[in-house]
Amino acid sequence: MSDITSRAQHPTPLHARTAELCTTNTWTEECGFTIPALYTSAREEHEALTTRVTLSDLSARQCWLIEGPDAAAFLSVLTVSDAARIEPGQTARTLWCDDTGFVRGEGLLARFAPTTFELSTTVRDFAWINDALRGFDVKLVNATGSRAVIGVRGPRAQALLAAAGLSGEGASTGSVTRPTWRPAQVALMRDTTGEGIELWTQAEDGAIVWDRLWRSGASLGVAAAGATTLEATRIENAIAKPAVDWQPAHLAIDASDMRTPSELGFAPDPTRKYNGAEAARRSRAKPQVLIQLAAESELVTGPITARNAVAGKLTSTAWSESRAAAVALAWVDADVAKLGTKVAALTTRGTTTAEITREVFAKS
Amino acid sequence: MRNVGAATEFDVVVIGGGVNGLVCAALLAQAKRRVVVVEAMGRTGGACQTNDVVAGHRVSTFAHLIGPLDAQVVKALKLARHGLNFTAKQISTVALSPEGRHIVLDGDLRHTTQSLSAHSQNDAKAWAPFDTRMAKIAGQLQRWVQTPPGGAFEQATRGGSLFATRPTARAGAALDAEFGALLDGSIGELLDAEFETPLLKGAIAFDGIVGSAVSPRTQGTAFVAALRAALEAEAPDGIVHPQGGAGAFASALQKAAEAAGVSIRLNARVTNLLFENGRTTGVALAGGQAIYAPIVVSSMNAKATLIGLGAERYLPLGLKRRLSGFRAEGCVAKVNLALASLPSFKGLDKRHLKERLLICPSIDHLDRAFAAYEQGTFSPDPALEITIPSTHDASLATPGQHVLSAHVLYVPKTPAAGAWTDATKKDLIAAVGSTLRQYSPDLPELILGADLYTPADVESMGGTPGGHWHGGDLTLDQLGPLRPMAGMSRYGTPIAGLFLCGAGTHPCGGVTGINGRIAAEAVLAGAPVTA
Repeated sequence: MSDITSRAQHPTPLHARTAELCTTNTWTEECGFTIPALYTSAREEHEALTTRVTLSDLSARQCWLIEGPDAAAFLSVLTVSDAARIEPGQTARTLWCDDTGFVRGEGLLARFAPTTFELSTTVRDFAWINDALRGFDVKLVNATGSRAVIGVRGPRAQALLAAAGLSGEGASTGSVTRPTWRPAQVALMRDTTGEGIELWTQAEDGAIVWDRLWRSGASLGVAAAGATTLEATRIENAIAKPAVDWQPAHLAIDASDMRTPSELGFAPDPTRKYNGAEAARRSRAKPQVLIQLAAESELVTGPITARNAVAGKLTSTAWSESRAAAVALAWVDADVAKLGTKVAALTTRGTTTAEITREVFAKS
Repeated sequence: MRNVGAATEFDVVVIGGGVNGLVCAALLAQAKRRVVVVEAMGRTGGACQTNDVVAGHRVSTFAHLIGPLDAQVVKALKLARHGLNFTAKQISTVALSPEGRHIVLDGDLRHTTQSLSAHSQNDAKAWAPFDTRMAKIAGQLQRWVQTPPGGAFEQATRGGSLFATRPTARAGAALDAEFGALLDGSIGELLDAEFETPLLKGAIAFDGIVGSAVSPRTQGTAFVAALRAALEAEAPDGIVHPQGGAGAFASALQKAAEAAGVSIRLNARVTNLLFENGRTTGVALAGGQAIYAPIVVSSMNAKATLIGLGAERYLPLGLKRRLSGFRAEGCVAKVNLALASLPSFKGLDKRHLKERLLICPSIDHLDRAFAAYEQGTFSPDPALEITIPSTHDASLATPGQHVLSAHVLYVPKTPAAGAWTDATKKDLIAAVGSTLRQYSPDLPELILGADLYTPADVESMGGTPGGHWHGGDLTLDQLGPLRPMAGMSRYGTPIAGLFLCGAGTHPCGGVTGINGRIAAEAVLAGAPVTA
């Protein structure tokens, strides 16, 4: 039996289905799993995602079950979230920090029952969290690979769920529903971007749910969207990604790539004593701000400058089909982070001017 | 349930009545704190005990050499008034040669050079400059071992000189370079570059190990040798032997503590710490009794205290992982022998029998013993540190008879083949006897009785978690600002009100009392949690 925690790359529970659809045969690695990079073309997938509905294989993630009488108490120390206030069936985007207040990981915390939670994330940190359990009556189970997760996105997403018999009375995001067509549980979750739906099932039910959605969506123009398209959408929507836009504290080589919860848009209750809270509250001497940039030519990651001085670092970039422009995310010094500010960013052939179009974690 | 905020009977609970626990308790009591020491065993002293081998033959059960004692402790506690009397001071080291060409390392340049000449003229010439250089480094380290870490090391990491007290910038730079070499290399590498006599190198290498599960080829062992030299340089009496053995030293400490007002409770095993709002408020005892105090000082090592006494729930999460990696498993056994008469060692003057006798003929010999240890067993020819305290302390044996005490390197706490049995213990005693016979052919026939204490016995009978003489390996990742680990090197812990004072804290273990003294100072100063 293969070790799911090793660095070997594994197929997801949906691999048989995605492989059939992946006409380009281009794949990428995510969190130890292989997933299609592009099923057809960036343009076609983008069109389907923005005008109709797409399915994506989001199973490439770590899934950890936290079970036991102290599960909520432990998670309230581990994460910045007050797990006791998450009702069964609800989810919360959350972070967890090291002892010095820098973020180790980000994920979606779901409560299935009073003493049962699941944390899904793209950050590998099982061993550290397992050691952190000491002193709590709680068990951590690595369920990575045992969960199939299907992302449903696009303006016809709700229509697709309805057509597949997965919506209706009581079926809201964060709820667990039992479809009549299969004696399996499907959990509907708000995905980490907040702009789509995730369907969580047991691995063995993944292909069945995928098939059902695929058939039900035929009349709605359903298509599959690969990692490249989702990545472009992520950057368009200004969603920061761990290990790309910021480095988990335990993986960072450069300390300046580590982030505090406040830099990632979290404002935990100051009275809460989550791990690293006191240290995290000590503000950085020079905090940085994550912004979105737009430019006419394609950008590459690297330093960006403003007023002839290095002002920050560009961390992820993509070509936006909908905007017909390059979009990127970058960390800049707080005094530079004003909408409309022009900065110089690297391209494959030199530098170009890019404009700050959004502050990612701006308080609305 | 206790009334929160209610007055408590004590200001401080000290867990463990070993040397550092007693020193810390006594000094806190002298500073007008109401202190209670809770000791799991039926007597104080920890690894400092004296017991019978056979009737009429008493010997230091575990630790057999005392010191270098912290001069401030000796002065503050007035130990002489409480019955402490030394029968030997400035105990030197003699590296035993199976051929009788022993090397005397007694701090007297003439003696050492003379004995080295029998082995190598080159080494005889090289000894004086080496000894001078090490003494200088030891002198500079003295201040460092006497104070909580942070200052000097922080200075070094900021690019400044390690030695704040250097006489001149030039001299300081030279010492920094020497110090850097110590940190970079092993004691084996250092000695190979200086000397050619295996016996000399083996003896000095032994002091780079001093009870840690490392090879003489392990990085950092050169620094540990310098650390030991620094501790010895500090103590006016050097290594000493108290009349009546190590137990007599513990007895004097107990009396000093009680005279200062410390209350001592024996057979009082702490099962867990007590907490309110994440702060420690006392201890719970095995009998169900609780003792409340706003300050708890533990002389157990960090892992045994924080993980073993139920503090995990209140610890920073990452610290739990780091604590689990703290290495505190003993690798030294103790063999005590009752002898019918004084043994003779080939070529060794009888006056040297009161010294510390080392059987460690080479670095490779030590390295082979370590290799066996790594395989979960012991070498058939182990390295030994021997004392024959009855040569100067008549209270230990009936006239004409003697006791011999030997530390045995390296011995696993739990052999790979399983727990220690009578058979495997006999094998180890036989290995020690066989080794001794090479140097003292008549010795095995003089044995009237023998006791063996494996590291597992040291843990259970000495009350030393892990059975480690030093409360944790002396390695670069567990020394200075990293001892017991980063963030806790200044005797405080992440738990408010909880302090550490045992051998597992800065600067290292051994019977010195320094840890207990600096910990008491930290408690009185309201020690910051982080270093």
